[in-house]
Amino acid sequence: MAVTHVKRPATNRAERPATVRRRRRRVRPHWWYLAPALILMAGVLGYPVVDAIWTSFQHNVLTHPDADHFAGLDNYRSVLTDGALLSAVWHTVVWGAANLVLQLVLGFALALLMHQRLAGRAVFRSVVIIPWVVPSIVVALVWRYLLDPTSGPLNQLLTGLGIVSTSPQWLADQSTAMPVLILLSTWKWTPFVAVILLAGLQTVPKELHEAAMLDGAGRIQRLRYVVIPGIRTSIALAGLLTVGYSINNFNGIWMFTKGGPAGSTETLTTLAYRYAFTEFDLGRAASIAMILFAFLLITSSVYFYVVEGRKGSKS
Amino acid sequence: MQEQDTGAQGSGFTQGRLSRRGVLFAAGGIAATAVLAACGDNGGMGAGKKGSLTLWASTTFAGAGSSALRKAAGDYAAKNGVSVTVQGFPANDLIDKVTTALTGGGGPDIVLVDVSQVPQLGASKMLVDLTSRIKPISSQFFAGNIAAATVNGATYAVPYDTNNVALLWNKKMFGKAGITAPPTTWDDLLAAARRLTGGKQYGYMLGAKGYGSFLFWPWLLQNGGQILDSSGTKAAFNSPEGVEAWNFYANLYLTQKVVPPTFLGVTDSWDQYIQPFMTERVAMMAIGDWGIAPLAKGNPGLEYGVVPLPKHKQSATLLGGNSVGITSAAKDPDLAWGFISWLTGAAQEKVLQDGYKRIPARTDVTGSAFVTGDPARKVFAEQATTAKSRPSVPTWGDIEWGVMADAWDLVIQKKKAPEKALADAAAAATKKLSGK
Repeated sequence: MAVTHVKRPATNRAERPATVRRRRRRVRPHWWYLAPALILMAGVLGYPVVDAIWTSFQHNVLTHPDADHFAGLDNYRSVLTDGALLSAVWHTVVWGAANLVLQLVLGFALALLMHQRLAGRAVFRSVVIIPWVVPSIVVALVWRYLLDPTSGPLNQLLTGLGIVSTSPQWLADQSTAMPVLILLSTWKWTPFVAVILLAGLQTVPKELHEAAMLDGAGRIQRLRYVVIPGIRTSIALAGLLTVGYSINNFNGIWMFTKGGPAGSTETLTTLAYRYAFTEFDLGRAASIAMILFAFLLITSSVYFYVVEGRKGSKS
Repeated sequence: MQEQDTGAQGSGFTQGRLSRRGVLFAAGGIAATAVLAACGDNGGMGAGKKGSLTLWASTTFAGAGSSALRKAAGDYAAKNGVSVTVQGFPANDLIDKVTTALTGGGGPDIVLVDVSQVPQLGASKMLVDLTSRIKPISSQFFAGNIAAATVNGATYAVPYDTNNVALLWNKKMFGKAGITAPPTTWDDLLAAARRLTGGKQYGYMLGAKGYGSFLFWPWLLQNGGQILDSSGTKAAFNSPEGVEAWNFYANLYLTQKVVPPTFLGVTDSWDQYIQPFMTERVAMMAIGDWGIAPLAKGNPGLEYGVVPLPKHKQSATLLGGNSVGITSAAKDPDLAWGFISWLTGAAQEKVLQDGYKRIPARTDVTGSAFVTGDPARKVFAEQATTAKSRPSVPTWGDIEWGVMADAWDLVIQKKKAPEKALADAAAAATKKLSGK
């Protein structure tokens, strides 16, 4: 563009402001066409957010319907001094980080496998994504049955083979509940990561591989210098989505442990739910939701900064 | 305690019919809540001549496709031209759904809920004050069931069924252990439980979370303790009697080890609690009449007896049941009252008796063949007049299922000493009761 401007005759220069103005005017109708959709989006996405922010500053306890009032920072002060928040934040961090690392590593391995020219690749690819397409409630039902301490097949196998003498209480023991939930969530969501990474793998040109091979690069070297840089954007995307989905993943915890035993799997989402539906305290529930919101905002900003920063330094 | 679903399918999520709405809801977050609230009110598209009503209940009562309650609603429609749409939700989710729908401005006209949840819903003005409508007929119901639905002098729901907790004991297992009679005192119970424990067999059953806190109250009462002080503003369960009862109760697992460790997983349904007794791995359990139908279904040949809970300083048990209320969303409360008073009337007792094997909360049931013809039911019906209902304070659900359930969890997960957990729970409960 700049080049064409320079080449234009000087007479055009005087007209330019008018052109710009006209151009601006021409843009306007597009916004009008978009308006219905934008307003709808603002209503559906914006209103609940604004309402939640507003609620978080209100004293809004359902069992005291006549006592609603503006409470300033009281809700925040109250939840921040409640010991439950600190442990919920810690569990959220553990949950998010473990899900991210496990899903990226396993998802990458799976994607590489799915990318190979293997016999029955189509079948293999379909089988791999099954956990991801199964509804959460079905996952919960099936796994709760499999993990049942007395009648579940897993414990029967373990005790039958003499690997353990007493049946582990996978979901009811505070030392195993969180690790088990992380594994289950990894089981369910890794296929999703794998599919994103597979799509990335398919965009890496074959020529690069051939060129690297000619240069004498082995498998590991090609993985490190060709494949991973080639799908960096996919990895970044998969990572960001995994962090967001995991931290917001309420099903994956509530359907198994409801935050228990003894609060060992309580995250910010289950804590907000408890405030709202056990205590009937919408104000404090909303303030937890806001803290979660801030938490996600910070996490994803840091994530972007790290990913983008690295990209900048390398290229 | 919320009366959990008792459809007998073993694992926690017993209800095959967790609705799509339920799954969506669990997708969590406050935003989802608002969306769901918006779709809460399109359930009542009945096409009655004189009007239509929607009733929400747990799947225990609403059933999946057909149920006695749905049939009763059909009968009412045929007779009165008022269509009643019955919608079921998993028992654990019912209150969440009702709350979400009603605060969003939608929701059903009528709810059938556990009576211990009525004070919370009433104080939140989600239920309509029915005091003047109930007063003329209140003498027809067990006083405890009316009291449990009354908060600050206002009654918010009509009793439907009544229940209380008794002791179930396995006759065959007792016989094998050489014990001739079921225990009548705490000491008897402990001695029997110890003799019945060995190998993979255990003497007594407990629950985790809210199941543990709910089943603790009778022990407290039997030891002469009280749940709250008479003003209802202060926790009283941390008295010396309370501490003694709590310790005895917790030590059944912690030190006496007469309870199967798998009870730690009893967090979601009564089915989980019942299972060991049903499969003869546990010889005794305390439960209400809602446990009878699942036992009959799951193990028809099980030989067991039902006796009042063992006493200590006195005998005592806990009263509960389900009640029907009109919600703030009801456009025509008179229409809703018409159905409620019909459903809870003497003529419809058979719905509960035949359809659910439950005891109607009407005092006239005491002399009926339904009760006198069955020894187990006789025990429950006799206890209905003396059983104590839980405090009808708005924060009750939070105290029983929040504070006390957490305290019990910390004790059985060995994270806190019993005395400390109880003292902390009492402080937290008092704080909640004071409204801070």
